[in-house]
Amino acid sequence: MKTSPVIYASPELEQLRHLVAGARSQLVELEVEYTKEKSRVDAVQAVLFRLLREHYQKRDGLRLTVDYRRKFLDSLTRGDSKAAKQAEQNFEQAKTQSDKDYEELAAAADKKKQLTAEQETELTQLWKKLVKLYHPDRFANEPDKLETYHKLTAAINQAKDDGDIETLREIAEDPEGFLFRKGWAALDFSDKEELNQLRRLHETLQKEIAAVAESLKNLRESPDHELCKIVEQKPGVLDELAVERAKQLEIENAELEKQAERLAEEIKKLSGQSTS
Amino acid sequence: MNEKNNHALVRRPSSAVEKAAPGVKRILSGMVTDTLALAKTPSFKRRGRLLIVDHEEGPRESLRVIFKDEYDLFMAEDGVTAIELAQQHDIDVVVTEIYMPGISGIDVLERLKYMKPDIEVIIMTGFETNDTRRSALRLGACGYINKPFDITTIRAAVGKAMQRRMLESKISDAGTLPVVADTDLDNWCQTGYKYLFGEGVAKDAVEAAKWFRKAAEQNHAKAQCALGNCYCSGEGVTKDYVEALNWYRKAAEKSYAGAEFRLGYCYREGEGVAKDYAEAVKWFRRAAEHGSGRQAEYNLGVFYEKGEGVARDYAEAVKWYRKAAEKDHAKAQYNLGVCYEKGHGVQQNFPEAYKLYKLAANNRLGPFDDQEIIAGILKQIVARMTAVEIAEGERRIREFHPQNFE
Repeated sequence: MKTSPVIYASPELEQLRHLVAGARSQLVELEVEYTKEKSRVDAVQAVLFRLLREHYQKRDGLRLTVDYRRKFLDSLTRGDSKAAKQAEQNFEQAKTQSDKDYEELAAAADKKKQLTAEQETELTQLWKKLVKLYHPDRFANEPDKLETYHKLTAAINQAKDDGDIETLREIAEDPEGFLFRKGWAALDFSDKEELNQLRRLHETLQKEIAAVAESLKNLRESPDHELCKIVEQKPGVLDELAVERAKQLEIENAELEKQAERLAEEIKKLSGQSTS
Repeated sequence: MNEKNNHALVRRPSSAVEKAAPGVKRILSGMVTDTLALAKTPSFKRRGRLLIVDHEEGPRESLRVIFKDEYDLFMAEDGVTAIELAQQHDIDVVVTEIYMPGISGIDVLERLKYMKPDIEVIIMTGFETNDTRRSALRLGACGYINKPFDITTIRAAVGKAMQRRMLESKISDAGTLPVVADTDLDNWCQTGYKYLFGEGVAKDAVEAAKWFRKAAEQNHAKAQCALGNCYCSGEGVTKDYVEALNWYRKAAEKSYAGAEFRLGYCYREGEGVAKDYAEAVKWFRRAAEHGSGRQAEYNLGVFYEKGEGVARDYAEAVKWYRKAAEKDHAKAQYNLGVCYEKGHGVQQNFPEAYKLYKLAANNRLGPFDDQEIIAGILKQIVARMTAVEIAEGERRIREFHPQNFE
């Protein structure tokens, strides 16, 4: 007589699988919510930066100049040429750094994309796929593969930060292909679930859930989110605010320019030299 | 978080800026803080936006000259352009001629109010009739001006409308109010309900109204509707229908179905407003479409069956009764049964009518009001049915599984 096979499953393993699946889905929902809100906040900031960059960069430059000239003048009065030299060096460094920061922000603002409703839906689906793929313990004991894994997750996180749906799509649809095109080593994405591995995974997922929930809470309490809400409630208000703020900055900059000139004249009187 | 988790796919999120140098963060947070502070300054007010709609160039140009220095102006030669402009810009006040080729000023008013309930619309015309004035006011126009207009009158009308618009937008304008997290608002509203029903605290309607108001003033739709209910019933506040309607409207602007239902009810019963069945139908429909539930659906069925506020339409009545009947609404089951028995708006079907009458009579949520009437009706229909038809009706009853609702 032919009998059907009997499969003995560990009840604990089954239960853990359910818990892990539940935690993953909770985490993905939270991550998607965070990404959507963050993407809106970032988009508002990118617009704000484009509108006000010129005025702020000028103001920061002028503030550094005024500060430097005061210190320089002070050193001249005290006859401390070493301190004067140091002040000049510090100023040059700070000015270069400030300009570099503005350049960096401009590059980030250019990359920032606001997600449309369809893209938000797609992002949800992509995350679901990618979270399924994700397994923090998967390569813990394989140091050679761990590096590739880190590169892959870094690429995914970067794409998410930039709202780069195309890259996320490319990875979710064909992770092996993505690794191959990048020239990175191959990874084994098959699930090898064991009791201990699942326990660790569940614990990690719980920690991640708490961390993302905390980040979401912080984001919602931040001034960035508050500004974003105002802008979404009143279309056009950001342009108006920027115009108003630009006017204020023009007044501040004119005042700083006067101060800088006054200080330059005093330096010239004292040293007989023009200053930077 | 350990090293491994920092590299995990799902990890504490951070944007490029958050990971960036402190200088970069400082620049951006400085911009945000300064701009936010500016937005919160009471003196920061944008100019009002006025849309002028007239197919004749003369009056359009006169209005442009009158208002060009006071407001940001948008001009439209016809209704279609006006609606497009209102969609693209956050218009505060519209002045529109009534009689225009194509879309009339009344149509413009209706569409604009549907799109943006808080927009203020002033109607102007050279040929005033009682009908046009009535429909303009019924549709929510805030003013009615006869042509030729004098500068003082039109200035006063637009100024008043603009002032009201700014005042109304204060509640939704986060620029003048601190932004409160949605979860806090939900909690305030929930606290209001706890006091109202005495759940875990001593019943205290005044305290309930206080909590509802706190959240309502932050533009929380559910709390606005709850506060409206307080004003309607006089619980915790002095009964004031006008105030109630005010709060219902604010919640309805955000498509809050409960408030839309209450507005429908007020118009049907004439509470705080003149009885207006057409308005009642409009609000009940919106409520039903936004998931308010079976009572709005049943009410719509009644309006269509009686032809009140809308042209009588049995098919439409059947449609709405069916929705409510499926959610186990006893009266809807009875009325739908009558439609099936008489063949009103649907093909005559005795087993279906039999099923609906019996469901209404034994409704699990509260049987039909008048058991005597329904018993008589059932007796009559049974006398007209064959044994096979009755068996079919009984089978349908066994197979009836009411939908989840509310």
